[in-house]
Order: sequence, then structure tokens, then C-alpha cells
Amino acid sequence: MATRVSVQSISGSELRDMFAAAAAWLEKHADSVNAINVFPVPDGDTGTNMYLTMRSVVEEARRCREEGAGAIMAAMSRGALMGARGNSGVILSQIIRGMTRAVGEVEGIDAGAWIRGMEEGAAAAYKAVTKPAEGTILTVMREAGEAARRALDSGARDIVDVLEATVEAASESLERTPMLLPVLAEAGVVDAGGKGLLVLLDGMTRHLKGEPMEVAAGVREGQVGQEWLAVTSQLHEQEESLYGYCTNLLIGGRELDPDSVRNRMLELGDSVLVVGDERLVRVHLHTDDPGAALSHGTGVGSLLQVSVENNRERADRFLEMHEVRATVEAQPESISTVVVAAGEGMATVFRSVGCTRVVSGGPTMNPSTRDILDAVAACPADDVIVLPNDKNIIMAARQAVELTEKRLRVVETRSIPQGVAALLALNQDHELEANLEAMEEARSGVHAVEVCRAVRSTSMGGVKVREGQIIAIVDDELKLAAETAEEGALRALEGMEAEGASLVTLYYGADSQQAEAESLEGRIREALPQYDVEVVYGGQPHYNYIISVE
Amino acid sequence: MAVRIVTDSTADLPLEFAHALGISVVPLSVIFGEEVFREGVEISHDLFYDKLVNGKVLPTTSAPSVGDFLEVYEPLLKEADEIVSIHISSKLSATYNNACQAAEFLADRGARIEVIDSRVVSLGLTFVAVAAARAAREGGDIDQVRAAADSTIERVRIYILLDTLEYVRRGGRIGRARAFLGAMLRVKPMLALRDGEVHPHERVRTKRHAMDRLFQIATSYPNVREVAIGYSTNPQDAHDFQQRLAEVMPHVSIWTARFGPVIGTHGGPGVLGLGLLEGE
Repeated sequence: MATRVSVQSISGSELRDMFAAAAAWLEKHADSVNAINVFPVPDGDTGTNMYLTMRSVVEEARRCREEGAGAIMAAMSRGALMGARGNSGVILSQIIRGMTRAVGEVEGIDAGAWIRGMEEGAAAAYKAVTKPAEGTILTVMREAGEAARRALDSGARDIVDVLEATVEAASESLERTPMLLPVLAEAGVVDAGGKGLLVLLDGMTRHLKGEPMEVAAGVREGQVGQEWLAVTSQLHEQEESLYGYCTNLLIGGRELDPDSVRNRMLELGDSVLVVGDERLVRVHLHTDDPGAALSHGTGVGSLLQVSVENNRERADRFLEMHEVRATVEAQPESISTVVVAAGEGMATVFRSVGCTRVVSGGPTMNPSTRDILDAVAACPADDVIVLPNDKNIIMAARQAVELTEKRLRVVETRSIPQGVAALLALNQDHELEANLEAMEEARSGVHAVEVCRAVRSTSMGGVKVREGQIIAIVDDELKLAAETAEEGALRALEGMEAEGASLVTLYYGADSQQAEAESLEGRIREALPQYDVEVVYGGQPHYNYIISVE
Repeated sequence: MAVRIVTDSTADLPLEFAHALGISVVPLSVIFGEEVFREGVEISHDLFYDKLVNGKVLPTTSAPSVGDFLEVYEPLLKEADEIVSIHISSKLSATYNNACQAAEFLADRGARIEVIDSRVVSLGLTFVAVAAARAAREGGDIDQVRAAADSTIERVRIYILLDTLEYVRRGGRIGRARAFLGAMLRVKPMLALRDGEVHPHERVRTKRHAMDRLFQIATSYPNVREVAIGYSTNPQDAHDFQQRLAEVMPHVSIWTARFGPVIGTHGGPGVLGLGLLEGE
């Protein structure tokens, strides 16, 4: 048996070849990665995007005149930023950027530097994503780095040994992704970005070991579940702009501020990734208004690259790729639900729990009866239940009952938390009356705390409020005024009568940051240890926090 | 000669029932990577759940083969001519089918083996197997034993409270409960076993609500004869629930049982099951 040569250090040229081999390996697997791409949007191009990003990486490495591994790494990082395509491409570029920072200016990369690179790469990837989700490429990268570190700690100095441990850990991590990300479980696949990463790491390892790079014939590819495809297809038939436009920009300038660009993009849509530095900023987001994103780009610098694609179309093509329309019918619902909610995150939450249509609206923008009727008309079932989620919208909902041919009933939910509880109590296998009873009971078992800024000074129920202060409303009653949203939320929870309650859910709005919400989560856990706390992105306007206590 | 009763290991049959009623149990297998364990024979519950929760490999399960059934049926046929073999729902496992094949094979040799699809599993399956065994003990012939089993099947109600749907989904037995997947909020799914498969029943947010709902469900049936409470990793929950029910149903037999590896693989940790047997 031939013993292979131990690899203690990787030179610049070896690094370049390794990445080139990884890119070529990914190209061979791009289709199978595309086929399982269901998160964050089923647009079937993760494999292609990651490959194209790598191609740019390799090209830049080839152009680099210097020899040192650190210099090649820096060139590749530049190539990644310039060529990053799509959500996964941007994350990949950040991984490479993190690696570059950790490796520094060296001639050769040894095991220790490589591992530091992996760890920094993982950290950079997490930082790049506004709402990092576990069960994605982030988890796989992190767990791969942890395995590499463990290998080093148990004495491994040969980079091939470290890489083998990394590939094994990445593979196991990938298998677990459906357990962490519900949509993967639903669709019956592992995460596409994670798979792309595994393929890259595997390609590097094979190259260093001198193994052949042929894809085995008859390799079983991930199959997206038929029922998931059918449900998604049905969703597409109902929704107009489900995912907006996938907008990618590369902005060049002098004193660019990625954070401020990111904040602007967060206002425009979701799946936001903004990375870069003061000279180059790469933007990726899904928005209904790509023009606004481009205008911001030209306002702060110049646009070096622009790409705008219709997500809905790509998603349709993805479904066609899997020949959905020919096969499974999703279970038709016997009772449809129309829910009133403001905020993209809120709408997603409600949809994920199973509502039929979401009517955009809330306390400062009440939907009209017409808006509700339109949504009711678009529902497939004859029995429709409306959840107004605000005491001021109950009227409009009740009026809609008379004006539609459908059997419309209203469960008078007075807040988002009540709406969620009521929706969870719905069971399509049960009769309408039984459902209404269950939903009514469920909604009354939930407390709601709403935290927002006061638009005028007032005094109510013994509470004095100055315009601009934060107010906290508990179950429709104004309870207190505070200086910050977090303080208001915490004091409201502390003052509540909620015997036996054990779960607090914090829906943070468009005016709050995830970091603030998570810090509030920590404070609640400490001050009120009887509660389990969950943080969910609601993106709602007006309310900094909507909190359910149950 | 009394009819012999056979069931499989997914009944999670409490040992005292098995011994007192002379019920034979055919084991399914749980597989961790390359290690295969026969349920109830080769792996303890504690070890199984430890591997499930802390191990790196997720287990899969496998039905007893036709040969496994022959191994149990043949010795029994030396002592009796007739066997009633009651098994986990055919929609959840190939066990029933394999039992049928073994029975057909032996039918050529003059044996009479009635194979019954219980349409349930675990607690529910125990109710049916015990009813059949009692009928056999009381001298019933094979048709009477079969009738007792069939009548029991009509009166069994099963509800399952899970921590997560993930194990059910991975195991592929999710059935109509697929509708419950994908919630972006923490929910405790409650399922029902009906028509041989898993159905979504309702979702609750907190454990306390879940236990309250389970209690409401248990007390909503006017004519409950017997109650079984199953658990995978939280015996305290099962015992607390048992006490709570005992207070309002003092004359009803309420027992607890631990879910074995096969149910554990498909349900996961933190499962609480409620089995109700209604009166005739």
C-alpha cells in the first residue's frame, strides 16, 4: 500500500491548485446542488452561484503575481467579493475573506493557520447574514471548523488529516441540517449551500491526496419531496410577488459604509446580505423595489455590477425542473383563513403556521373591508375564518361577513399573539364549529404586550406619557411609559399577572435590531427565570416589540 | 388447547402482561449505523435513549422478517393448533405483511394463524393483544379471540404529544401530520392515530397547555374503561398525568409504559402518549 506524503504546509501555488480543483469538483456537482435548493427561496441556483463565485476566485488567484500563500489568499478573497453570486456566493466570499484575515501574510499555510482560517471563515459568514439560520451552510462551516480544531488538539499536523476530519464533520453536519431548518425537513432534502461547501472541502481533500476526481456513476442525488413541491406550487398560484426580485449589486466608492448600506437594504426587503469595506460593497437582497436599492447604490457610490432577477420566475422554473404540475395535488383545505398582519416577518410566520392569505395591515394602517373581501375571495375553501388581530379591525372584518357569498366567520383576535394562538388551534380535519370553539379558547389563553413610541403626550389610567417616550400596552391597557423599548418590554413583563405562563415570544419589529432583541431575551431570562423565551423576526412597523405570554 | 397469542415488540407490552397472559412477542430491530439490536432483547431502553439523544448516528428501524415469524410460530404450533397474531398498523410497518406471509406458509401444513392489523401501535396494540389473550385464557376459540381483538380495535383512541416532528418526519411515518411541519415558532405537535396512520390533531405552544389539552381529551370520553400513558424520556410527566387522571377517574385502570426503541426512533425524546380504551 503506497503511503502518501505528509503535507505540513501549503505553498501559494499549491493553494491555488487546491482551490482550482475544488472549483472543478463543484462544477461537476452544481446540478445536484441546484436541485435541492429550497432555502431561502426555491430558485435552484445555489450550485451554479457557488461555482461561479469560485471561478472568479480562481481567476483572481491566477492573475496574482506574488507567490506567498497569504498573498494568493488575499487575491482569492478579492476575487470572491467581485464575483460573488447569490446568497450562497456572498456567504462563500465571506468565508474566504475570514480565512484570509486569519491566515495573514505567510509564505506557507500550516495546519494551525488553516484551522484558524476555517474558524474565522465561519465567524465571518455568520456576521454577514442578518438573520443567521442554523441548518444552513453556516452550521456546516462552523461544525467543520470545530472538527478541524479537535483534530489539531489531538495532535494532527498533517493538513490532509485535518481536512479529512473536516470533510467527515461537514458531511455529518449536512445530514443534520433538516433537523435544524424546518423547510428542509418539509422538502425532504439537506441544505444546498451546506452541500456546496461540503463538495468544495471534499474537492480540496481529494486534490491533496492525489485521488481521482470522477463523479461516481449512479450517485443518488437529493430528491425534493413531492408534497412540498405541490404545496409550494399551490402557494405560487395564490401569491403574486412571493419573493420579489433577487437584486445583486457591487458598489464601488471611496468612503462606503457597509453597515449603513445594510440598514437601508433591510428597509427594502429581506434575505439581506451586505459585505465589504470602504472601497467595495457587495449587496444581495430580495425586494419588491429593486429600483430603490439601485438608487441607494448610485447615491453612495457607483454601480460596478448590477443584477436583478425575478424570484418568482426562478422559483417557477425550479418547480418545472421537478415536473411538479404533472404529479401530486396538495391536500385541499376545507377551511381557509385570512389573517391581518403587518411586516414581512409576521406574514412569513403566519404562513408557516398555515394561514391561507395575509392582509397587510395593523394599528396605524387598518385594512379596509374591501381589502379583507379581496383576500376572502381568493381563498380556495368556501368556509373562511378571519383573524383581525386588532380591536380596531374587528369592525371591518364583521362587515365583510355580510358582503361575501362565502361562509365567513370572524374569530375576534385582538392582537398578533392571539392570532397565532387561534391559528395553531385550527384543525382541517375538524368541523367548522368545533374549530371556532377551539380557536376562541386558544386566543383567550394568551396575553399580549405591545411596545411602541407614543405619538403624543397623554395621561391614561394614571400613566403619564410624553410624546416620543416608549409605551407598553398589556392586553389593550396602557401600563407604563419608558425611555427605551427594551426597558418598556421588561418592565411590562415584570408587572404582569400571568400565573402559570411559561413561554414568552418576542416578535421584534422593523425599528428594532436582532441584537437588541437578543439582549432583551437575555435580560428577560435573568429577571424572570420561569419563562422560556423565543425571539422571532416580525418586521412589523410601529411596534418595536409584540410579545406573547402564554 | 388454548389459542396462542402473538404480538410484536412495538406493543411495548409491559412485562407483567406478557408473563401473566402468556403472550409471545416477535421483536423488531433498531439499527444504529452498523449495529443491529432486536428490540426488547438486545438493547435496554436507557441505552437506546442515550444513543438516540447523545449519539452521532440516528437510528432506523426494521420489521421482523418472515423467518423471524416462523421462528416464533413453529414452536408454538407444537403446543397448540391455533394462533392469533396481532400487529402494528400495516400503514406504519411491514411487520403485518411479513406475519401474513409466514402464516400462509404454515397454513399449508394445517396450522390456523389469524393475523390481525391492529391499526394502532404501542399502548393501543397492548390493549388489543391483552383483550385477545384474556379471551383465549377464558377458553375462547379462535373466532371468539379474533372477535375480541376486532371489537377492541374499534374502541381504542390514541393521542401523542411530541416535542418535535423531526423524528416522525425522518422516519417517514408522518402521514397527514405533514401539515404541521414548517412552523417558524416553537410548537408542541399533538397527533392522533386514526385509520392506521398518523393524523394532525392540534398544536400547542407550551407544555403546560399541552398537558391540559391532553387531560381535556382524556376526560371528554364518557365511557373510558382503561387508560394507558406512555413516555419516552420523561417518566415524571407520565406519572404526574396518571395521578391527575386518577383523581377524576378513580375506578378506571390507569397504567404507564415506556416507549421502546422502535417508537423512540420515530417519536424521539420527550414524547407523551395517551391511550384510551372505551367500554363496549
